[in-house]
Amino acid sequence: MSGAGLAVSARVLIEFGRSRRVLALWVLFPAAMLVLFGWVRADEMGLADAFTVTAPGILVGAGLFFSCLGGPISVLVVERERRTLRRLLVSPLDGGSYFLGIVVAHLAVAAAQVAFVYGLTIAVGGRFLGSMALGAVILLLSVLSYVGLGFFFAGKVAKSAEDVNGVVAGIGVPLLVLGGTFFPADDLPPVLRSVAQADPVFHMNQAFKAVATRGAGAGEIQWNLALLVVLACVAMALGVRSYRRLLDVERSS
Amino acid sequence: MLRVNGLAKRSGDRDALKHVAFAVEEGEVFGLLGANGAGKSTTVNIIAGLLTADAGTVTLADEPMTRERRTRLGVATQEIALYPTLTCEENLRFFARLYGLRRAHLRARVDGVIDRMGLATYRRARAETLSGGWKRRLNLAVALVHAPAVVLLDEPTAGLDVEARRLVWQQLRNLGAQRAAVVLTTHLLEEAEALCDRVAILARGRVAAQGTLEELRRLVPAAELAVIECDDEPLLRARAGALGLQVRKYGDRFTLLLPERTTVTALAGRLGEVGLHSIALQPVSLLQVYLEVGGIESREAADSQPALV
Repeated sequence: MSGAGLAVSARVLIEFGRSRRVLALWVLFPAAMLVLFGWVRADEMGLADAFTVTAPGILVGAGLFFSCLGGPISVLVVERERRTLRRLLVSPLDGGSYFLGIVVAHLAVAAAQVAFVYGLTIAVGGRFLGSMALGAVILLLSVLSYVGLGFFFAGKVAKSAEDVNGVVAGIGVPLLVLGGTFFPADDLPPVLRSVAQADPVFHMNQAFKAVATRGAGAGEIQWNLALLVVLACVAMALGVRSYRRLLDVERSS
Repeated sequence: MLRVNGLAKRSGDRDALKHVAFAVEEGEVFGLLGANGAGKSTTVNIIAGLLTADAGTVTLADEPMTRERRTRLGVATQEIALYPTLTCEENLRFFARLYGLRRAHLRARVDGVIDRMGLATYRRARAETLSGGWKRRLNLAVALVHAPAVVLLDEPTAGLDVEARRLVWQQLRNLGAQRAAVVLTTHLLEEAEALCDRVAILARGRVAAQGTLEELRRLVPAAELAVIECDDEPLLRARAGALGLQVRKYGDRFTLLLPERTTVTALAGRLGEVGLHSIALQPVSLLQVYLEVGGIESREAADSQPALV
């Protein structure tokens, strides 16, 4: 990635680090959800195992979802509102470097969230049972899917900072619940379980939970993995297209 | 240095720009003066690459303006565009990195522009904590951090109070001294008079006139102006006509173009009984040039150009 792209990543991370909203939504919320749902399930299987089975869903759903889907939407919408996007357009920064800069910043945020959620889990005796490399691949595909969709929504739906919460809550939260973020998808009624097959979060959760809690190998989750690869490609393509259109609109505004 | 030749741009069913042409040399501050909607920002946006012209060319050092050559431009748009949670220094460092500056070179440039713009006190202050005047200065500093050969400034003092405006003017004068070619858009006549070596007056998307301030003043066929308030317009026009004086009407007032200097008493005596309420003599101003070359007369026309002050 170019130096300009890295400059974008660094700037985005500094801005995130200074935002109370980011701290609340991306750190305190997943931590609270992990503790709460871990505690609920502790009676059933003990605290350590409860955290072990709860952490994957909370990380993919409550953690990465808000940071990596809500994050790019927020960055782009705010950048347009304060007219800095226009200023970037007259600089030598090319669109691709900017896009990659945002992706890299969110990968860094995701890495910090993984460390934080699993730090908490390990602190109470929980574990990650499977291949860390396979887990990392699933998380990478999940982050790319979220970021791509974030760019898509930023270009298509969210026109102001107020819209961001609406998009994240209105579109996202139902996907999280259906995707088995807060409780096992096995607990869903059969009809909803069928519907959940169309929910990308469901496949992220299924794949990551299988690796993290059962030590599943790539062969066991090949269907979920294949879907995640397709989803990541489609989401990034949609995101790039929507972002290009957004830049054209911004140039002529 | 910078040449704009035959720029044209349609916006809906009207010409936003038509055959706009001018050149700006190294070390020169060139003003694009005009009311809101005259085409100033459209011109700057085309030079900056934000808009595409329907016709015409922009060249830098006699070469067509390409993406690569645009790195030699510094652009401060009309709106203050900064990252509020970043400090002044961080904002400058970020934009300097976008222009390819690294390490010692970057540090030297950031330090230099902070010194020149008087931002040292606020170096580590977040942009969101600065007052409007200081934000405007930082906004300008960001446009200058990579030492551009051409600086495009779109209404650089918009929204500033008199004191803050004069501080920014001081910085802009220094730019010319540093051999940058500066293109400045403004609807403030005072700003154009204070800063610009040459001015192009834009009216309805066309360059109505351009030249040094002195050259522009000579476009008004008068040595002096008499600004008059009176009740009897037909009589005033008749008397002025008899004396061979041209009359212009702007709002409730009349302006007589006097071919030679005179005194209030002498002029009042020559006009006779025309129901004068007041009469004042004044030198030919840039405002008069603007009104004259823009062909703006009568209350309706003057009201359609409300932002020029």
